[in-house]
Amino acid sequence: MTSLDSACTSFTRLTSRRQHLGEMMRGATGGLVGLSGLADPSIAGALKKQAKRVLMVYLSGGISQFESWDPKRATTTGGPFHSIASSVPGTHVGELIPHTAQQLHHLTLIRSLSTPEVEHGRGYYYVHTGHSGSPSANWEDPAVGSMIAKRMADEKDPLPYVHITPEGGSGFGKGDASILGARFGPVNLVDGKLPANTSRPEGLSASGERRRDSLRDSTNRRFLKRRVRTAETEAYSYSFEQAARLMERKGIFSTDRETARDRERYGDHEFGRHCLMARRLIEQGLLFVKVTHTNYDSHCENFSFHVQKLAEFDRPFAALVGDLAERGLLEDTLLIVTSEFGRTPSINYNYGRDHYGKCWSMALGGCGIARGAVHGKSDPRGWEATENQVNLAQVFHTYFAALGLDSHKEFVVDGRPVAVADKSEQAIAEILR
Amino acid sequence: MPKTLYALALAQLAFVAVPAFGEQKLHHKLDQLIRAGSDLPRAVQSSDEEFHRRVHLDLIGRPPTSAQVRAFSSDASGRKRQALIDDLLSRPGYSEHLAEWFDALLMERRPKKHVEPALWRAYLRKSFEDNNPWNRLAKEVLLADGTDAAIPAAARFYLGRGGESKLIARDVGRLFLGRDLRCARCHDDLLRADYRMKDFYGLVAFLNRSFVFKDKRQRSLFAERAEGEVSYASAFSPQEQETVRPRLPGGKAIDEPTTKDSEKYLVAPAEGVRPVPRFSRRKALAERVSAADNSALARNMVNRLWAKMLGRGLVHPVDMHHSENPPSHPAAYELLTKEFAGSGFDIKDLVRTIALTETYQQSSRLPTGDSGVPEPTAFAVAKIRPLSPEQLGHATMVATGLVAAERESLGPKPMDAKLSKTLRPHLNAFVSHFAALPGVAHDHYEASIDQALFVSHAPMIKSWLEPRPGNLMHRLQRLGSVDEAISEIYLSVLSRRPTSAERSEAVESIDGAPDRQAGCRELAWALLSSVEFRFNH
Repeated sequence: MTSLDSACTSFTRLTSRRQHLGEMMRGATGGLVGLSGLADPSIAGALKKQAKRVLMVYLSGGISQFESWDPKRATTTGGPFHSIASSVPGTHVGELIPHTAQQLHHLTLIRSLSTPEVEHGRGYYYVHTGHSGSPSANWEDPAVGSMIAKRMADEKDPLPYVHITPEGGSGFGKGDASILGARFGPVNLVDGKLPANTSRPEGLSASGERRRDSLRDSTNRRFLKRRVRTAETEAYSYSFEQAARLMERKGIFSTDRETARDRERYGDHEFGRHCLMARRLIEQGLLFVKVTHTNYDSHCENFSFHVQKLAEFDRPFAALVGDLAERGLLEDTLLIVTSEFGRTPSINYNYGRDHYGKCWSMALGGCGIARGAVHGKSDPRGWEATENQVNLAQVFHTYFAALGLDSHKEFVVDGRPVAVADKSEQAIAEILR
Repeated sequence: MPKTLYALALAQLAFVAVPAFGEQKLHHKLDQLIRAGSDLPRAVQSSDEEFHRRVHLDLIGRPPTSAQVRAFSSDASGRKRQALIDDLLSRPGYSEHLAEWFDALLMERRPKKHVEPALWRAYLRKSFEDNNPWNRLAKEVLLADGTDAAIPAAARFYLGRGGESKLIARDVGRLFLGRDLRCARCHDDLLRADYRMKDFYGLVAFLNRSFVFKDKRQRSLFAERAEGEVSYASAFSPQEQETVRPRLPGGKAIDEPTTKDSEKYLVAPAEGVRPVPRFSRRKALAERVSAADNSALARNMVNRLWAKMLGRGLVHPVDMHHSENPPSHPAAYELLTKEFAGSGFDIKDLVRTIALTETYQQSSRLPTGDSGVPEPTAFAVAKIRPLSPEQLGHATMVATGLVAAERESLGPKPMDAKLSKTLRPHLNAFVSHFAALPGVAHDHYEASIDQALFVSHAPMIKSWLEPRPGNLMHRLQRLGSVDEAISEIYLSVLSRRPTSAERSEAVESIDGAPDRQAGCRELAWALLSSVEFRFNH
C-alpha cells in the first residue's frame, strides 16, 4: 500500500541517499547490462513449457514521466536533465535511465495515458482495478492480478499471484481479489520474506507431519462418508492440499542459488534483490509476479529524488528485461511498468512535481506487445495528449489481449457478471503484436 | 418455494389445527409443521455425543470438556437434554456467546472508530445477562447518540460506521429488517420488485440529518440537525428527482410536526455546540423499528436465530425477505414469529424453543438407504455449518486444555473477566485468520491457504500441545495406557469416543512415532485440523 505522505522528508530517503549515489557510481563501472553470459543450464532445464505469465513493476508514489519515459528537455516544464537516445531509433528517454534506454527495443511506451484519480490510495485502486474507489481491507472490485490469476491459473496452483514489496506485512492479501475469492489474492512477500507459518514449527518433524496429516485425512474421509459434503467442507480440506503444494514450492523463494555475478549485476540493494527474485519466480513459472519499488512521490526536490530512485531502478530493471529476453522468457511474459499517476509539468516552489493524471506514461513489453513502439504523444510541454489519448480501460483490454484472453468475457460471481473493464472500450490494436 | 406449495402448507396448518395440536408445546408444533412440509426420509435423532457437542457450541459458543462428555453419556435420566439446555442457558457463557454473535452480526468486525469495541461488547454482554428483549435492545442501539451515561457504547452501531447515512440505512435494512436494499441505491431493484429506491432512501431519510460531533472533551457523539431532505434519482432516469420523507421499507412516511423556524431546536447549532432538534428523525427510526407492530423486526430475528442454529433460514438468504422469496415453512415461521413477538421478543426463550425441537436435534448423518441428499429446505437432516472464528478459537483452546491451564495458573479463584482477558489475544489470532474482512457479513465463509498453514504450523498451536499443568497433554502423561490416551484425545478434541477402526489406526500411528508423547501430539493435532472439528454438525 502506498504511503500517503510525501516521501520527501522520510528518514530512509535522507540517510540512504549517499549510499545510493555511491552504488550508482559503482554501477557505472559494472559492465554492460544484458551480457550476462550464457544462460545457466539448470535454469534452462527448469523452464516450464510455454505458459504465459505477467510481471508487473509497480513504481509507487507516481514516477515523473518527465524524468523517465517522456522527457521534455529545454522547455519550461522539462527540468534540468538531458534526454538520451535509446535502442529504439528516434525515441529518447531521460538521462537517468541509461541502462533501461538500451533495453527499450523490448518495450512499448504509452505517453498519452489519462486517468481520473490523483490521490495515492484512489490512484492505486484505480490502476489496479480500473474502477474508482478506495483501497480498504475489503476491495469492491478485483485487482488485475487477481483477474488474470482467476482466468489463467491452473486449478491446483497454490501460488498464482505473488507480490514482492519493501513495505507492509508479509501475508496473504485477501482484499485485492475481492469477490473473485481469497485464492486469487496476492501473497505479499515483504522484502522477499515468506509469510508466517510456512515453516514447520520446532518439534514437528517431517515424518511427524506425515503421520499427522495422514490421520487427519482419514478422519475427514470417515466423517464425510455418510454426511452431506458441502462447498464449505470441501473448501476446508482443499485448503490443506493447497498449503502442502505451497510448502513443496517454498524453495523457489530461496535466494541462495543466485550467483554472485547476478547479485552484483542487479545490485545489492532492495529493488535489485527484488528484481532478481522476480526473475527467479518467472523462471519457475509463477503466473503473476508484482514487484513494488517505492517511493516516487516527489513533491519536493523532484530532481534529486529521481536521481536516487532511478539509480535504484535503472540497472536492475534493465538487467531483468535483458535476462528475460535472453532466456527466451520475454516472449511469454507480459511486462507492465506503471505508477498510480504521473507528475505535473509545472514545478512547484519546493522544486517538486505534484500528482498529475491528465497525461502521463507507462511501459509495456513482452508477450503480445509490439517491440520498440511508442504510442501516443504529449504536447511539447507535457500538459495533455495530442495524439492517441489512452484511458485505463483500453490498457486493461490490452493486457488481456496480449495474453490471448478475451477481455470482453465477464467473470460470473454468485450469478453476477463482473466485467474486466468498460465493455465499450477496446484493446490498443496498434501496440499488439 | 413455489406458491402452490405455500398454499398447501397453509392448508396443512388448517388440517392440524385441532385441539390436540393447540395444547402441545411450541417445539412439538414446530416439528409437526416442519415435517408436514416434506415426505422425504429424515435423519434419526442425534446421538448423545452429537447433541452434546452441538448444543454446547450453539448455546455457549464452545465445546464441552472430556469430563463433561463422559458425564453426559453416562447420565441415564430421560430429560437430560432439556436439563442440559436449561443449564447452558443459565451460564455466563451464554451471554458471552450471544454478545460475540451479535457483535459480529451488527458490527462485522469493523475496527475501533469513535467507540471502544470492548465497551460495546460489554454492553451487549450485559444485555444478554439481563435477557434484554430484542425490541428494547434494537431501540437502544438505534436511539444511541453517545450521550446516555449508562450506555454510551451503544452508539457504536452508528459511530463505528462514521455516521454515514447510506451505509447505516443499508445495514438497518439488512440487519434489523431482513432486507438488503443495496441495489435500490441506484435504481429500483431489477430482481426484487419489493425493493425500490424509495424503500432505501426512506431509510436514509431517518438518518440524513445526523452527523458525528466531537465535544469539547473530544468525545464522539451523534448529533442531528432540524433540516435537510433526501432526494434521489434512478440511474436509468437521472433527470427525474424524487424527494422522500422518512419511512420504513414498504411503510408509510412518518408524520413530522411543522414547527416555526425559531422552535426547531431544543439546542440550536453553534460553534462547538451539539445541536438537538425538537423533532428527531433518528428517534423516530428507533421508535418505528422497535414498535410492537413492526413484524419485520420479529421476523428478521426469528429467521436469523433459526439460521444460526439450523444452518439455513426459513427465509433464505436471511437478508432477502420479499414477496417472491417466501419462507420454506410458512406455518412454522408464522407460529414462531407470533410466539416470539408475544413473549416480548425474548431471545433466550426463542433459543430454548429451537433447541428443544426434534428438527434441531436430528443427526447430521444421512438416513440409510439410497435416498440421496435431501434438499436443504426440507430440514430432513442436520446441516454441517462452519464454526464462527470465535467458536473455533474457543473450541481450540478448550480442546487443547489451554483454558484449563490458564485458569489453573490464575490461582484458586480466578475471575472470569481476567481469564477472558488472558485468552483474548489468542482469540484474536483466530478471528484474524478465519473471519471475513471488516464490513463483510459476519457469516461469510472462505477457506484459504493461510488458515491451513495457521492450523498446521503456527507455533502458538504447537505450544498448546506441550504439556502444561491442567491441559490435555499433561493429563495424557498421567494415563497408564495408550488406549486411555486415545480415548481422552478423542473426547477432548472431537467430544466423542473413537470407533474401533479409529482406535486401531491411532495405535499404529502412535507406535510409529519416536515416543508416546509425540504420537499423541500428532493425533491430537490431526483431529484439531479435521473437518469434523472445524464444523458444527
